[in-house]
Amino acid sequence: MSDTTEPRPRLRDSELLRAFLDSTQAMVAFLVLTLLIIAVLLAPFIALTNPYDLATLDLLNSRLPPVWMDGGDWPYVLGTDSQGGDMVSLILYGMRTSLMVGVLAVILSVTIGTILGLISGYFGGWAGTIIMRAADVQFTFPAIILALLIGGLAKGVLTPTAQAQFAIPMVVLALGISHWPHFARLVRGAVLVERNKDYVAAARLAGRGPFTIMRRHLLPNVVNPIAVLATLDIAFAVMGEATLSFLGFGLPPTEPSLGTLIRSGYNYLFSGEWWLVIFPALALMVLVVAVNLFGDWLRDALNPQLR
Amino acid sequence: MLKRTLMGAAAALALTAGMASAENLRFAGATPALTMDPHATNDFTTTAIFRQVYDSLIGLSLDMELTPALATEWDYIGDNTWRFTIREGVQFHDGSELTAEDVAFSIMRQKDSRFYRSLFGGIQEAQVVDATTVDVISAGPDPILPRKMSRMFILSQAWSEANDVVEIPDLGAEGAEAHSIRNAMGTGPMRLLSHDPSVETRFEVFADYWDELPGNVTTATYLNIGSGPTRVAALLSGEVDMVVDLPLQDIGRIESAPGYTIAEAPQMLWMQLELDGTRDQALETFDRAGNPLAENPFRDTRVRQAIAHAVDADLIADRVMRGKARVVGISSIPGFGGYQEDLDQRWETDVDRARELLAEAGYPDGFVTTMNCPLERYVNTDDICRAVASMLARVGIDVRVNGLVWPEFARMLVNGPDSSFHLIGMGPDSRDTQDAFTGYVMTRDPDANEGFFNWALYTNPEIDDLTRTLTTTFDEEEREGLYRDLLERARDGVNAVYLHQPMIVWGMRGGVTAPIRSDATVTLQNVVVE
Amino acid sequence: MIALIAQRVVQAIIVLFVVSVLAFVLSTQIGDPVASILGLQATPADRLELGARLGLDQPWPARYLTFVGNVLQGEFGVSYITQRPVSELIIERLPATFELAGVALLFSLGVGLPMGIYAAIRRGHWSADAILSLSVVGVSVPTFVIAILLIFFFSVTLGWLPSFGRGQVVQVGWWTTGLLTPSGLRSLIMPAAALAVSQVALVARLVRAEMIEVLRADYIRFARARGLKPRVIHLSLALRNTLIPVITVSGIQLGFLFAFAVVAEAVFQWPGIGLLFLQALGSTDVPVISAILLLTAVFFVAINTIVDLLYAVVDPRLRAGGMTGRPAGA
Repeated sequence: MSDTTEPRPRLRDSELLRAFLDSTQAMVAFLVLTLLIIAVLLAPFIALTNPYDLATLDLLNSRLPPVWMDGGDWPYVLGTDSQGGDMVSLILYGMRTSLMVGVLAVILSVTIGTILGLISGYFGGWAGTIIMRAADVQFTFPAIILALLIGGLAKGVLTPTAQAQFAIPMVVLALGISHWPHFARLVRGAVLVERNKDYVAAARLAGRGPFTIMRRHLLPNVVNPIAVLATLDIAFAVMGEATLSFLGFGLPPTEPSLGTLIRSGYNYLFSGEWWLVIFPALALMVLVVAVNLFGDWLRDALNPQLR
Repeated sequence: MLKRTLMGAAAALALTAGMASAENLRFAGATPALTMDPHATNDFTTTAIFRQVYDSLIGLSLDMELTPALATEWDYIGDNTWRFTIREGVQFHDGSELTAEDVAFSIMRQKDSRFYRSLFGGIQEAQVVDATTVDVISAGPDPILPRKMSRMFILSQAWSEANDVVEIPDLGAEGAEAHSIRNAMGTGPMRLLSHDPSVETRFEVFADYWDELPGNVTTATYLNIGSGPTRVAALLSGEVDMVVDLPLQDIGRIESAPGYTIAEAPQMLWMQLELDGTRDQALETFDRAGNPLAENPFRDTRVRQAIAHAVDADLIADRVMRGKARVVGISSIPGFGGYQEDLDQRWETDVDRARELLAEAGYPDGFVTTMNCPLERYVNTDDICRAVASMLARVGIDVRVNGLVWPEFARMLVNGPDSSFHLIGMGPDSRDTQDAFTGYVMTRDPDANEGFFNWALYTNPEIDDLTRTLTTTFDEEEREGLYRDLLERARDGVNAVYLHQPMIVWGMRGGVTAPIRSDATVTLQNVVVE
Repeated sequence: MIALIAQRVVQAIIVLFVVSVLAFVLSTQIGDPVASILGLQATPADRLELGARLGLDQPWPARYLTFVGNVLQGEFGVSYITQRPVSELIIERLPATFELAGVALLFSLGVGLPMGIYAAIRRGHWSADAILSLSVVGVSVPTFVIAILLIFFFSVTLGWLPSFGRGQVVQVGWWTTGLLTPSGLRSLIMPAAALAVSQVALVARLVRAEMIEVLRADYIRFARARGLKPRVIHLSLALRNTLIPVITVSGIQLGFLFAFAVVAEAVFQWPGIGLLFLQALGSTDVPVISAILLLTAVFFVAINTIVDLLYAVVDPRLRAGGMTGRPAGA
């Protein structure tokens, strides 16, 4: 990753496409991901019950097992929860929340990290030092502890009602803030290498401002590694949300996400109603494995010496 | 239920014939036993644990009736004074004799505890009359003081003085740990061996106990296992003999496991929805367009009735509580002083009637509101709240459920109360209907010790007057009439939407026989382990 | 080198300052200690009185100074909930977490190293690919899911291993250890395994990557050209050079195991620092929360400073830049 002098294939390159078509791993992962994303986007149209619209729930349908078991009933393929909510619908809505939290958290880390990395690498000086020291400082803290801390702080500062309303932004903030240094370091490293190259000097002589140079000349050089890191980071953010929610410091139980579903389903692990925890856990695993496999392949494809 | 309890007790008694040698019982519960100082907390679990070590002045039988314990007799002698006769020949765990001074000392110590203000705040003085007599003088007449005295715990005065715990240890005082937090000196059936809050508490039987010891447990350990599934796993894998708060969803699993049994008893509290009865504008309540409602809809009795008709408490008890709950129709439950069985009829579930009432009250399209929901502390509250919300959605009231962990929920109530609609459990410590009214239904006036827990700010001047009369009436017949009048008025005015009384459920491995009691105390002296 | 040490020490002090401010802000902002201590029976007078006793009526700079002053004397206050000195609570819980994290580290190195070496040597072979894919699954399953599954199979279904707690512990001075009794060891297996799974995968991937890098180096090529046996090249030359970054990384790993122990401790009710932290967060036990935050900061700053210095000693090139070996995203 530190080797930035070699030319790298761009995301658009046809070589990359060929590499993609050559790799079963990449194609399967991509296919699974695409299916999941389509299903999640269509959730409001295909879901039988809507966890946000309580009038669609009926207690009389509560805790039905999956259809292939005794007592199971169509159309609740994977059974229902304690409120009569359809498990498939819950998982779709839950995955929607989890993915949204994951993607937003990564966008936040990428944005903060890239801006700070560019500034630090291009201008250097005391601003650059402070930024990188801050990144170092933050590296000393494991993300999970940091996220717990941010979540805890938010709980203290906000009123209970505001907490419920801002639950998702809070988790996004906690996860996003805890990961920006990865991107800052990456961007800074690349900028340090490119900064002194002739074309940048030429652009500077041509009277281009520092922000234009950053945007037009420096940023394109770091798009690939950022893309790889961001892909893998989505997996971590999704797991982070699940872990925080499982521990009770993420989303509230009224906000279905894969983490909150597993948290509430966990209580039923020994009671015979295993579908309440096993299916959301499987969904989480499939999602994260798919993202990771795809990210892994992307990294190897863009970094041929490692293959 | 009662029958089941008695059968458990009978079984326990029958088995005592062959009192075996060293028997150890490991039992686990969800919440930690915080402190061994009986006056420093009124926490439910902690009380059930320190009751092993400390006897109360008046005892409780297995079906929660008052029985003589450290006091053998009690009489009202006029002038706001109750006279207690102290049992002779009772020993503390260090071998010293229980004296009337110890009793008076303990009463004066506990009455100052902020945790027992609602129970003992009225006590002014405990006077030693002679070696076996103690007079308790209250600020006003207190007909239900004996009931309250089942929560009065007696500890050794000499021991307290020797260990510098004459004052109840308080928080933030200084860095040192008060002796009474992890040590104890009572007269109870069990002696404290060690206490590590949030891990385990160990006991040993006290052979010189003043009462019979029908069971055969010689040592016992209470373990705090917070996570429900872990607790159940520990029971199934044999690591603990008994679980005192079996999660509802696991009852079936334990019952069907060979050799395992469960015991159940109704808990001494009931769940209810409380609705803002005072504010001109309800908090977080809007019309369909999102504008705050000009009027507080909950002040309108028709809206309260509509909500009572819309919420199907039977379905909640059946589905959410898996049948382990009894639907409640009045502001009292069986076993409480003043309970009226014939009045205990809940509002009928009638969605059409609910819609009509809402339309009459001027809300034909319903409205949007927020319900605050405590996430822990009571059984399955999260599911109860969501079930209520989905039932109210059918009559046009859109409810956003705002789940709060207990400290936050408590903070919201104590620092306000800042809630116009919430779920809460209520169970007055004295187990008397009178205190349901003085504590929860009377217009809130903390300084006068009236309606202290009336977080919904319900108000009804007639109920206030009748309750004041009740608190000073000793005549049983008169009291009965007042109880009935109050319960009917509260029900018809919907002081709150009553839901259900949850069951306490214990799970035991085969060979363990423990009679259950409604205050969730494992009376270790009655437990038989094979 | 001296300049580097000085720089790291200054940096450590800054970190601790920032964290102490955070811990303090947290202690003033999180929840309302008065409400959570007094419960529902509190009157306004009670609240004012307790607030004054806890010093909550003072302006916040004064409270921060008091806080720092106390902390420097090792005085973390008294837990609101258990009413015991926080330092005692932490000392009691520390051994549990260290043993859990330590054993998990042994697991992750013991399994991860051979897997990584194998995957590097047999690169391109299906078995190496399988290891790589398996490691992706390993990092993709959250610790709590693994923990749940382990309990389900080994405690409930098979009844082989205890599902919670430390079992029987032995007191060695102030340290309690579960390593000396059979029940203590049995209790340790599942929490440590659950904690180790994702780290096994990370170690395996790291070792593989480093080893491949090393195998490409010139001196390995020379060794090959000289006709040395592959086994000798792999195990003596390549492995030795691979291990240096791995050893330093395992220092950081210990830190992360320590952090993720929170999750394992929650599921297995392991009486360690993590469980204490969660219980304190759940009941707004502010003195405990701030003390644990500060201690965690000290612990991580110490680990990082040592690891950074080790790196500098081992590989002078790395003095200027960041570390490549850190597990991404952990």
